[in-house]
Amino acid sequence: MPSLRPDACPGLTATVVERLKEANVSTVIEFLNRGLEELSKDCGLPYQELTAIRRVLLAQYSSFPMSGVDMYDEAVSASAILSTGSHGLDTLLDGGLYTGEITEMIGPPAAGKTQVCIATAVAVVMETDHNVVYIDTGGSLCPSRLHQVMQSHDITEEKYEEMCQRIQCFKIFDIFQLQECLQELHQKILNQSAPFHSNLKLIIVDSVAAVILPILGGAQTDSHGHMIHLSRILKSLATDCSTAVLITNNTTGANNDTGQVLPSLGRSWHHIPNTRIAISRMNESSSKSFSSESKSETRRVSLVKSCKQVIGGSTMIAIKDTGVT
Amino acid sequence: MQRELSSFPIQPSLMSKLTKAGFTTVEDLTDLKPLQLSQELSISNEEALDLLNLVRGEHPSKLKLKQTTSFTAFDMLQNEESQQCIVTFSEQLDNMLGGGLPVCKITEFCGAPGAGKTQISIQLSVDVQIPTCFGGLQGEAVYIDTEGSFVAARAADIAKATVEHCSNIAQAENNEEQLKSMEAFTWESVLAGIHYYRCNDYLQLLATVHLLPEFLTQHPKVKLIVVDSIAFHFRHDFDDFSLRTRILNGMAQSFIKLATQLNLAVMLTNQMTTRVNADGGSHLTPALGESWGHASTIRVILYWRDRQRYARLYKSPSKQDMTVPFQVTLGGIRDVKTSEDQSHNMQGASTSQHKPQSNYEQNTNEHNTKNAQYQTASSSEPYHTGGTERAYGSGQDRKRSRIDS
Repeated sequence: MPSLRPDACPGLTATVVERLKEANVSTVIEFLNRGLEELSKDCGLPYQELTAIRRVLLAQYSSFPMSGVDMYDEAVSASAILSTGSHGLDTLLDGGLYTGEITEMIGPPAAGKTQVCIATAVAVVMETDHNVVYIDTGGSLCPSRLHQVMQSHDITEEKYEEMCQRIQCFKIFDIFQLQECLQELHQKILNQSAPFHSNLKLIIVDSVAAVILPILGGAQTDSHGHMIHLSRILKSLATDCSTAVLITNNTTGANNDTGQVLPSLGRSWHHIPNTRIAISRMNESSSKSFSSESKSETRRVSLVKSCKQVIGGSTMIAIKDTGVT
Repeated sequence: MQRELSSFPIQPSLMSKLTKAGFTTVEDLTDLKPLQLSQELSISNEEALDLLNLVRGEHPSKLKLKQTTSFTAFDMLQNEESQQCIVTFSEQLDNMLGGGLPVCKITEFCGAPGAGKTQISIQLSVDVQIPTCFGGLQGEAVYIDTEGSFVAARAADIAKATVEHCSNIAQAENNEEQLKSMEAFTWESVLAGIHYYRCNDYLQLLATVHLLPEFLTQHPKVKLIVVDSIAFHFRHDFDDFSLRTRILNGMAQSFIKLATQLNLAVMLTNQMTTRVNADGGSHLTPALGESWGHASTIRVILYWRDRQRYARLYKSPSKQDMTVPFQVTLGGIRDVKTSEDQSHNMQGASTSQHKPQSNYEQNTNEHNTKNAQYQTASSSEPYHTGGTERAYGSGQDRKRSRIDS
């Protein structure tokens, strides 16, 4: 809701703004919502002048139409599909992570979410010349693990150093810092000031729930706004800056009657990601007792939400020392 | 896209004033003077100044919070390699955790009553103080006790055993630096290095956690924060579950923030609860529900089986699942020796794989012969304390009841 300010557009002089204010119109929205005839009576400004201002404001704030062909061409030329490093996962995601989309991975604790994030980051810097931003909100990014996964790709030490420089990490622990960080990224990418940012194609946030849950719940009312705001920044990072955004989220409802697993953060968050995959441990029923010795590196990944693939498909991945396969 | 004001930590009443006056993005505020803003919003000058400082990122008192610096993965790796771990005195447990309790991470130990959670807590608050010349961190510990299970006499036992162990190494090696540092490293000094908080309800716990950053700036030597247990106050009298989730996750975030910024280790213990399966059976699972499961970076489950304690690594960003046995002796946490011969073979093998983390392994031949308390079957196995119980003998029944036989 931007306010009406002198010189915001021609014709909107200081006296006009003053007059409008007297008629209780101080923001653009208020101006556009009022009938012009009524307004010209209230503030004693000529009708034509107000129409001109309205026209300019509308043009200034409206978005532009785009033809489907142009959109398609742009999608084909500008979007990239980033491999996650695991063939099964790529197939499930119709090729991998799409730029311009938010992909969410949900799962219970120790399901392997962070492992997939690490493997994807490594796969992107190894196989493409794109850069990665990794935002760690839970302190779970483990550089030595990153190293271990990279080593399995059999590279020299100098090459390794170069690869590592292309993964930029942020350690962020509250939502305000996260919003600030993402906003800065957004600006840097659009400015194309640094070579790192102009080649940035993947943004990982592991996990969003860790920063949102501390402000959600209880009697807080504004926290919901922060969550939606965060989702808007993520969306605009994905679309405006054509990056692929990979986020992780917790699950809830594992113990309800239906046994259906839902992502946490509530219903309004469910709509945010374009694609959602759920990851869980295998044979959970038999190994549910923690004292059982069964070790499993296999995880089941299933597609919960997608606009490209049939929902409900699933695949097996294995989390090994060498990464995710 | 301009950053919106709603993405700043601004109180709702002020925010609604801003919105009403038409200020929604940072740009709207950049050219304003505090006086103008205070008139526009009819707020005090100070409030207006605070607001402008916040939005322009020039808040003088919150400079520390503004550390959204980025690292490359390479910086992080080098950083991590220079970091040390807190040893547990059980070599197998250390191996499982990747050298011991890591700093900059939250490690959670879950277990049913009597599984050894408090013992490990006390052991680690002692071990964090081992002098640097022995490969320790020479730090201090903050011990937040919610259950009242910390026993000072037990801490003294473990401290004495640890000090004795170090002094034996120093004497065996005849290392002057080590001998010198032993003068300051006594069991009294170890106990003095544990800052103990007793929290009787969750309000106290919350308040303590909020005050911790201040305490830690006054005590920069603190390298370990123990909360034993995080679950206790949250498992009863809590109707509003969303509030509980919020409080717990808020605490987890402030812990991980402290851990990363101050390079210290956070160790939490958690209780177990019974979950009923769909098929009518039940199993034990860590308390506080699923959302809490994400809070800790590393999760270890402690349990008993066949009269033997086990620790299972359930969640870790860098290690595979693993289960190792351990025991609690009078001197603290130790590796298990099933029988003298078996352990000789087994331990011998595991020692050779173990990359040296500290000086414990050096010259243990001499040290073992000198020290009856740590006398073990395997001369190459320094962690071992098979003889501990014998050394103290009878008359210690009170203590024995707390430790394994």
